[in-house]
Amino acid sequence: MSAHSPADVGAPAGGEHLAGHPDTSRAGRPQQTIRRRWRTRRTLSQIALQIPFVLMALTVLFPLYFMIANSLKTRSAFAQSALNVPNHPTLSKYSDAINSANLGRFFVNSAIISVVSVAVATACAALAAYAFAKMTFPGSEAIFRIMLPTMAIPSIVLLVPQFKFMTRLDLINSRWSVIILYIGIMLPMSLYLFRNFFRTFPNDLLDAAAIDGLGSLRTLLRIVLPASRPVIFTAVIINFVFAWNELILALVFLQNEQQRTLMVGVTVFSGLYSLDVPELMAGMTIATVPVVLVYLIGQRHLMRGLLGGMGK
Amino acid sequence: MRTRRWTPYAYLLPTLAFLGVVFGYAVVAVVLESFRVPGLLGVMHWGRENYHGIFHDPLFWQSLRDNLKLFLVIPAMTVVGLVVAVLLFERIKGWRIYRSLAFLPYILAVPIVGVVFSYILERNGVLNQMLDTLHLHFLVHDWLGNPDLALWSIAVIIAWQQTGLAIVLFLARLASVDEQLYEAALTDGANWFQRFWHITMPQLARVIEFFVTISLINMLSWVFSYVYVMTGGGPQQKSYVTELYIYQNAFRNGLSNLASAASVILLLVATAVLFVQAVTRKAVDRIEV
Amino acid sequence: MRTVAGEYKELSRRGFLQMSGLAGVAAVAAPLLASCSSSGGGSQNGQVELLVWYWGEQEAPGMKKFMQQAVAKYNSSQSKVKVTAVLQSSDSLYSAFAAAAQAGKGPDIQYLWGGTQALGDVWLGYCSPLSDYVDSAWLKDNIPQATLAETNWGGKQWGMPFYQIGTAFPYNKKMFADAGLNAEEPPVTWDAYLTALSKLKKAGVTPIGAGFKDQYLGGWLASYFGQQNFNSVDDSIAPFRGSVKYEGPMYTEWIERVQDLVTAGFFNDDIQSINLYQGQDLFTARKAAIVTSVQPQITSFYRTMGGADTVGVMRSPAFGTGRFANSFGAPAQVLLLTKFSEHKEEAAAFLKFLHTPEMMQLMYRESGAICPDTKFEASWLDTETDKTMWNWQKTLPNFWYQYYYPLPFETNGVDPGLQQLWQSGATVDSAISTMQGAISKWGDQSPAQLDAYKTWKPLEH
Repeated sequence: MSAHSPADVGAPAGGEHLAGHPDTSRAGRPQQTIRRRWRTRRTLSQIALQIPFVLMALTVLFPLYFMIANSLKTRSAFAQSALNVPNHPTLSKYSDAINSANLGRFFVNSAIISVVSVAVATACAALAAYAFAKMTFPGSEAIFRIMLPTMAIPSIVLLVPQFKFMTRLDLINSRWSVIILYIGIMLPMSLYLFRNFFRTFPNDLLDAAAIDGLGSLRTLLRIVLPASRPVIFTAVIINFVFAWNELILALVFLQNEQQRTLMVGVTVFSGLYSLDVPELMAGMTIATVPVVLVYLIGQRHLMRGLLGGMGK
Repeated sequence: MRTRRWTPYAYLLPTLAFLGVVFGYAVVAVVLESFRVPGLLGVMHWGRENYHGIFHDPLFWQSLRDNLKLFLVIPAMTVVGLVVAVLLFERIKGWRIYRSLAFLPYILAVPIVGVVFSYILERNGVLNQMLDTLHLHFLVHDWLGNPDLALWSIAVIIAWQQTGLAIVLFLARLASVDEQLYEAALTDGANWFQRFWHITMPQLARVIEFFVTISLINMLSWVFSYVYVMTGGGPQQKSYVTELYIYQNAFRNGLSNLASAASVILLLVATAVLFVQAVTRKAVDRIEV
Repeated sequence: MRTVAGEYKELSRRGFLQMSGLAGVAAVAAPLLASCSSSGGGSQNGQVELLVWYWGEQEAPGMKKFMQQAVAKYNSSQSKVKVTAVLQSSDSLYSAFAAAAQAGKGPDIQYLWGGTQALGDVWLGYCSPLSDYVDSAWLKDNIPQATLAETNWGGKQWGMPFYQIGTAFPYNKKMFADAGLNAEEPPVTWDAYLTALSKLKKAGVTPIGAGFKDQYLGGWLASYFGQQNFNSVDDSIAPFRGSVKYEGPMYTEWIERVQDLVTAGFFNDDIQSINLYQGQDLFTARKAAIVTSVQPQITSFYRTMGGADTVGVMRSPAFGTGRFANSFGAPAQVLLLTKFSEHKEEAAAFLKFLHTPEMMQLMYRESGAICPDTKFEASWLDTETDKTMWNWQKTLPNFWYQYYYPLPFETNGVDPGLQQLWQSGATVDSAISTMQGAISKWGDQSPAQLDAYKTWKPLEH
């Protein structure tokens, strides 16, 4: 731990590391000199290197193209070619998908479930991870080692015992059932993420806070968390992706049509097995757009969060 | 730091409570159910028949093996992730766009990915159409309909979706590697490969370990939706994973206690994987110290 | 350290704002959540609430509309009982019910696919006998014996038929005519069938369109062809009692016949990579001459593809020598009373309501599905294909093997066994041994179901 550079001390303020990274550069760029020297050797291979990257980009985008392009076709246009750009793009499949289901309601349901579960899971994980990372107490390692394997319990396994449990609490058909389950599923990995991050937080700052008379909770809230914006974003985005996209539990625990999530409503109920492929693609596009938007807005922060969170 | 003796436990309390409610109860219930044997009309007795049932079922072993086969794409995902991350880090032209794109698949819903790729990979689907157009007939295969290929097709789709996480994790770690290390190496005249091997790789070790651990768990316990949507375990049950075995027995074959026994075994395997990972890590740490 | 401190202060302020924003969202969401989380059940002012979980929209589009109208009608016709019907997806139909049944709380009435697929849940103790709540004379008078038989076990009637799924092959008359076949007289014998298929193939169309990826096709083939050498229901279930082996022509001849079709190339080349519904869609796309389908879907083909001029319907051609070689499979999907329902009397009354002529007519109008009930009148039928199938039902035995064998025989035996036939070098013998293996595994893993079969005295058709 000792002989490390200033960059290491700055680890918790994740932005600091990225300062050298052009995307987020607000401070100077000490790496520039090295890069320039590397670059001269690279000019020749630069073009050759573009080929695999363009291929990668196409591979990533093609399924999305397939989904969106075909959602804009009629059934007969799809039957003619699933590959072409739609000749006469039509939004009619979207209106079909929208009319056949209460999309607004589904959207609100998904939003409530995702926001509440992600907020609670992130808060709990931060709290626990802080204890694991910065406090010494008997059983610390053992408790952590027991918590971690819960990552490996798939939702298929949870279905029946949790249904029994939620029935006893009278929470079937209540969003709380799904929220509680999501929180549980999100916690182990979030905890892992936060603990790794907090471990790199300089103890000097904590000691200084203690000298100022701050208790541990206030230190966490006022000093550690504000500097942990990147890892918070990371956990939020990864967890949000999970909550928004989850299907099995939402399908079984929310029987009431009023409480269905967007993912369940547009994929399972408007025709996962339908023959109308364009309508299916339209429904899937509708379900995908919100999470892609969140990603595009949050991706700058995500990169920073991952940077700090996976530390040393 | 000054803290009361119970403070850390208070911090753990909410997390422990949720994990207890969600997993603690379920694990106890699943273990108990795995030792209950159903008779006619809901009469139950205790016994080990469920374990006998799965241990003598070739399909159970095969489904576990199929999970383990999926492990084989993890090195590929790691290497591709590493190469792409290093190249992006060296800021090849367009790296910003590539970086955004690389993570995009990861955020999509698995069932949606599965459905879209099912259409693309059909025998007469657009992938084979494109290969035909390019006169690459020898590459035309029934990707999901051929029992020898189906599992591998699924593995490639999983890699398609999850390599993005590797790229972003590695890239982020690269960005925080101490520049002085590289400068010192350059002064010593180390070439690119030497710098990569002696500086980049050791610095990346922990994040690679993190990614590999997460991926092992994913391949064991979180691949149901891919398989369920893309092949349903077929053809000829040649792409069966343990989760599907559990699902099929619990909800279609009416053998939920047998499914509980399979769940217990799956949990044991996952715990063993994490245990091996922890032991390996400790051993590596000791060598490094 | 300088930058760290500067950065740190800035982040602190912004971070705090963000945290409070998050807290704000949570604070707004919490009451919203509380106000929305209503749990069904519970009775108000003495009214009994009945919960129905049903399915059917996928195979009989319009079933949801029917159910909504039927429930509204029932609820307004009396004030004692309030019915709520929730449509299930194909993916949650069985998993949600298994979870609910094991929790001992859930629907009062549960929809299940018929025959042994419903009895499977009966044997697990999830259901109550219908015949304890509905007079057996009423059942006998109203419901055909062959339909009752599918969910009659242990001397009790368990399932109330909801609608039947007449299974048959719609064929494209124009393609038949173009191939030089008599479009009005589809083949009824195996030899004539093979000849017809060859001619269709020569004419450049896919003779039979099908999708096997989702593994539903196996059950259809095992029923159309696998039951042709049986003379009785007893014959069909004997291998599952352990009294005979699944071998010899009576049980396995059909696999050779399927292989005939496969090796002659009568199926579409992408059969292994598409789902059942996509295979059926080859008919609407006018790529396949014959597909396997169910009666409500055949009606929709009939309506959208040009009526009786284009769409005809044929039965499974016969090669077998048993009584069920010339049969028509019209098995019924069923509604069952759950063990944990507190209002079984009321639930049974609602099930009888669905069998009133008015409701049966409404169901047929909305979804094209026929309720198997002696009160259903032929005069209600409005397509030629429905009338043809109705005549078969009046004159031929009604038997569908899929609803008599245990489901694991299909998923572990029939499906993987038949799929082998599409592989080059595969043999009928290996398919047979896969099926035999599935039966012995089923017996080992489900001794309770084995007992259920051993004691089963099925009503004969």
